[in-house]
Amino acid sequence: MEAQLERFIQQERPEADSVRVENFQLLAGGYSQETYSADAIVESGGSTETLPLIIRRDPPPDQDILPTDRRLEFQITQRVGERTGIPVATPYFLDAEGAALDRPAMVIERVGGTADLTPLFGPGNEDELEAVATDFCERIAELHATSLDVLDPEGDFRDARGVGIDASSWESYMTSSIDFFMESYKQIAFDPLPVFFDMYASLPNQLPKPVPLAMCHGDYQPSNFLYEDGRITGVIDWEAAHVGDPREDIGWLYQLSRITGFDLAGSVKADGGFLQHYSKLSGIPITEEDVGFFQVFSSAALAAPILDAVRRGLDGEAQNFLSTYMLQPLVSAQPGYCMILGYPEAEE
Amino acid sequence: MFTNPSSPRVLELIRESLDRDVMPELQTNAARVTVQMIQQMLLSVERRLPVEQQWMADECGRMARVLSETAEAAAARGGESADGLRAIGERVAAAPEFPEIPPFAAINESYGELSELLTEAIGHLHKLDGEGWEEAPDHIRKLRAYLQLRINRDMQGIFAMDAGGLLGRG
Repeated sequence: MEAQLERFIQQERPEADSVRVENFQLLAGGYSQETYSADAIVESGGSTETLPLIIRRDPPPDQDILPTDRRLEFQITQRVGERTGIPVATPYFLDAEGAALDRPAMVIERVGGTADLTPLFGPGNEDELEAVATDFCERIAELHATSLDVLDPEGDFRDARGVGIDASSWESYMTSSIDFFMESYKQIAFDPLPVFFDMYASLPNQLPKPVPLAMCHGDYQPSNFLYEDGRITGVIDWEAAHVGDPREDIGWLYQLSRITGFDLAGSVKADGGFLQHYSKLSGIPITEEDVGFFQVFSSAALAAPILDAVRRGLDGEAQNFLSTYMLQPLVSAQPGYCMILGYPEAEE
Repeated sequence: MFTNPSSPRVLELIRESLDRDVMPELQTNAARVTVQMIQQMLLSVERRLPVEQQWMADECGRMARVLSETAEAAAARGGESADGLRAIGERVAAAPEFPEIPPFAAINESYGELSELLTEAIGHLHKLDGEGWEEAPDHIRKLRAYLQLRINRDMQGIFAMDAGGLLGRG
């Protein structure tokens, strides 16, 4: 793939005399895209430029746990970078059809900073933690406060996964999303999954007050940003971006903070805490009850493709062990769902 | 717990993955033979799982019967060995008797059907709740109390997420 990458960059930078790729390596882990790191040495007109790169490529279709669109990810990363103050990686090149890199891929800047939160949450780092957490709050407030006319003038993100979501109004968005979850369950439940079904079926009776739809990051959580010196240097992984209820991102952040133990929201003190600070900056009201609802809603949205991946593994459609292994996170997520649905103590 | 995949099916998927994903990457014959040994033992466990408890319970009864008969037959005879057989008979009489355990496939099928019905009931109850049936929340709560037990058992008794946490996400 290194040689393919060199040719691809050369093709995209025809003015370059030569392109050389060094330090090419597959980054371990990740359930969605194949992610590589590399440096491109571009020589042109006697000068040498080094581009630190991240390459995100679709996995083979049968191994795709969370199918998403590289073109949309490239587009939203570009727009957020150009049209907001949110720090993101500069997107360099897009191979939308996989003509150069075998499968759809995008090449973006490798942003400086670290994603390791362990030292940030260590003793003695309270001030930096508060600064980073506050920045994290302010960045998502900024995204949600940015007009959809600015970030999605063509409407490409109104049904980003192409599953029949109707984002023409808040009511139609919520109804069509919940309908999609219920329909998905019927198609992909490889076994009776009562807790998952409970999660989906409970949503229509708990709907919160409407707010204007906005651009959602879709996976705004403690693993998806880099930081340095008390500031966020890059919000990453925009593959799940979509037009939706902005409180989805907040619910998901709270859900993942609980699972990972990195409580970013709890580290914000401005205006009395994360939710108040977020509401003040974004103009979007949000209550604790709304957070609970959107923890369920965003978990339901994510569970659907994972359930489908397990089903494909069991049916023999997918020939990879990861699909089977997805059973483990599915089961381990259930106590969290029970908690946010308010399950009583176990019957003995 | 899941009826699909059953435990034997999970083992089968693991064996297939070892064959497809791991074996071709191995560098030495010793490592390849070790994986073949692992696969063979996994197959043994896969075959044993659906019959283990049924056969053990059944054979407890068979062993008790044959040992009791032997002890009775030795009752009229003197000597150290005959005394030994009578002592065995007394201990066998004190062993617990187990009821017949239905075949695994029958339990699995019934568990799956009841889980399906329970899931369907949750859907109906949420709709009735939305329609304003005041008793619906209490019935939802009762079903959830059972489900909480089920999830606790899954987590505490089966799923080994304490062994390394969630793997593969870096």
